Amino acid sequence: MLNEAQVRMQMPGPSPEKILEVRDLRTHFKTSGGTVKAVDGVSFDIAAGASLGIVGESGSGKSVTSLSIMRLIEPPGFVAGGHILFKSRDIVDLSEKEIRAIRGKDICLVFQDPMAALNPVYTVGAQVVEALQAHRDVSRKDALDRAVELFKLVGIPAPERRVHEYPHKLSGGMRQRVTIAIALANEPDLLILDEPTTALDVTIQAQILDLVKDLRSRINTAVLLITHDIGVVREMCEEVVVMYGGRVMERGTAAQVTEDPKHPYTVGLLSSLPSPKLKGQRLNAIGGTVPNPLHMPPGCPFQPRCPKAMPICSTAPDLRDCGDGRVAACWLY
Amino acid sequence: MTTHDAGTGSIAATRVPNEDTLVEIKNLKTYFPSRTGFLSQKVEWVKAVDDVSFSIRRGETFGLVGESGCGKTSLGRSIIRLEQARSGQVLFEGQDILALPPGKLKALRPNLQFIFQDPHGSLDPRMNVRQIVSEGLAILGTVDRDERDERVEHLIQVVGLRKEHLDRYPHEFSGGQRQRIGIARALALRPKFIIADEPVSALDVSVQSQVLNLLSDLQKEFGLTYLFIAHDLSVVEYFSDRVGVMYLGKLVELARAEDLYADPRMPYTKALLSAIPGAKESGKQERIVLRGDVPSPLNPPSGCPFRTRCWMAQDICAQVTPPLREVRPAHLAACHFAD
Repeated sequence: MLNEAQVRMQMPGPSPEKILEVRDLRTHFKTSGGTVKAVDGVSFDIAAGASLGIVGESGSGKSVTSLSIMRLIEPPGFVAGGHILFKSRDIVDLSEKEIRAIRGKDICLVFQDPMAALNPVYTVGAQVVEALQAHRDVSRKDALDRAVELFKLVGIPAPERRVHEYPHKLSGGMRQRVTIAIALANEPDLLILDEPTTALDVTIQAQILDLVKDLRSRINTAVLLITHDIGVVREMCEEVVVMYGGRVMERGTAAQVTEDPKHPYTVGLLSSLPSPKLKGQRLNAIGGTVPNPLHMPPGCPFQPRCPKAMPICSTAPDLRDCGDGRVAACWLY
Repeated sequence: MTTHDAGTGSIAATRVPNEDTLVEIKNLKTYFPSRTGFLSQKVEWVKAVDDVSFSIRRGETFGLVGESGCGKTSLGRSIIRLEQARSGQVLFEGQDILALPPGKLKALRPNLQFIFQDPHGSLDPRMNVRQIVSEGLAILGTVDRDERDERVEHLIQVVGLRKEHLDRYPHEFSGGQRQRIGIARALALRPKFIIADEPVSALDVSVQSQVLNLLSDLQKEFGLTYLFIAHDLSVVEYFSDRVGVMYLGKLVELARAEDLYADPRMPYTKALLSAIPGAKESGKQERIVLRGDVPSPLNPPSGCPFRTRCWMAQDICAQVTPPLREVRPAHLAACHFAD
């Protein structure tokens, strides 16, 4: 287990351009069956204006990480340890009032399902107005004008008319544009996108990904993208963190991780993707299944499925240096 | 084998002579009523499957792709009469499934099986695995209890589970294991033809590859023919011999998987393939981002269904519906400008 000093040694210390630094985050859930360690010692950071992707399968802890950053973990969940430094302030220690001033203004979250994220009984314009008025003193009329501008920014056609419509009138892609517009309303420093295109068709997904890329080039917002789709990360992010069983398996640039994976889990994940080159051949499936979060194996969570498991793997490895500024939580390095 | 009339000439042209056809779908239409207006008196029709014709060869995997609402699931369900088609024919070894009387249909049913997308919703939570897998055999009534048990015990091992799993209930299994149970159930009646509707899309990537491997092993072992319905274009490319692309209820392109992915002829297919995340980075083609959304199937555009989003559309596209025609050898596309 890492202590604070070790974590600081492994990573660059707090520097002015780091907007978010997650240090040894532990988010646990108390259940009748025992404690689920959904996030168990996760560290990463994001520079201002940069983009980081978190890739993982279901149960890897990627969404709980994003909810922890937003301080949206509800009982029986709780942050059991670690720090989340946003502009050098620790989100974990903030009062409810302080976090409300940050949430939705400086850090915004876009969810997977836009229909669930929008309120069906208010017009979409009213929901942008609400987001604006929650954080600044603007008149309703000015806020609505700003909503029209934002809708234009995210590529909603006929924005003057659209602001007066209800969510059910819009298609899935348009709804996701609305939630992105709401997230951008207060020009956040950090935009968290949690599976933003998973509920959308592939041609609509392409539209939304293009929009996010375009927005990043126009407004200097850091992006934390959470997804199960390694193709999306390769396209969208500079850096990527691979999670499994509540821990970071490896970290590097998107090109490094997708082309030359270091951790056996990432190697297995990438080689299990179907590709035309493998036609007629069997896929390199990773054996077994994702472990039950209540009965995590001792040590490395991937060890029972790992083709390279060694006796030492029953002790959890720290993130270890594997050259080129890359780290992997594996005893191989 | 069936003979072909002139009306399906273009379809017949895709087939190498004497190629063994297992299922032939001719002009299949499945419409769903949508009641609107005052007291729901006005009936409009959602043309979920709109005049689709193609054939599936014995032993092949025919992939069917398209976005949500394109009609691919309705097509699959119509083929085995889980959905009542409005018109058309589905010839299975020459017999029209849609016209069979109930008795004969029941006798044919064991040949046709379905694997569902949702491994949670498609297994009865109150039945144990033994009951789930043997239910079809029990209904069929042609094998006695001992042989039934023997077959179920064999099958559960074929799909990679163990005998002791037979007395457990669905909630005790993971998603991948449940999908294996669904596959064992489909295999129990020794079918010739399996429709797999998004069999791996609810599964995690690392488990998805296990199930795909299982499906291809079973295909070799039992000589199965698959209609593989999926929205994941990479999975379909890897897994299918030939691929059909659907848009708004119509089949708009059909070719061998290699040809379709290397040289799509229909603009919609081009856009769809270029939208695969990572496709642009791997140097395949420039990303084509389509304007707008899929039109409502209640009110589809005149002529070519894709013309409202197509960058190549001309006046003719609104006036004449392009037929599915052969534009390259064994490569069909429904576009006026596919040549």
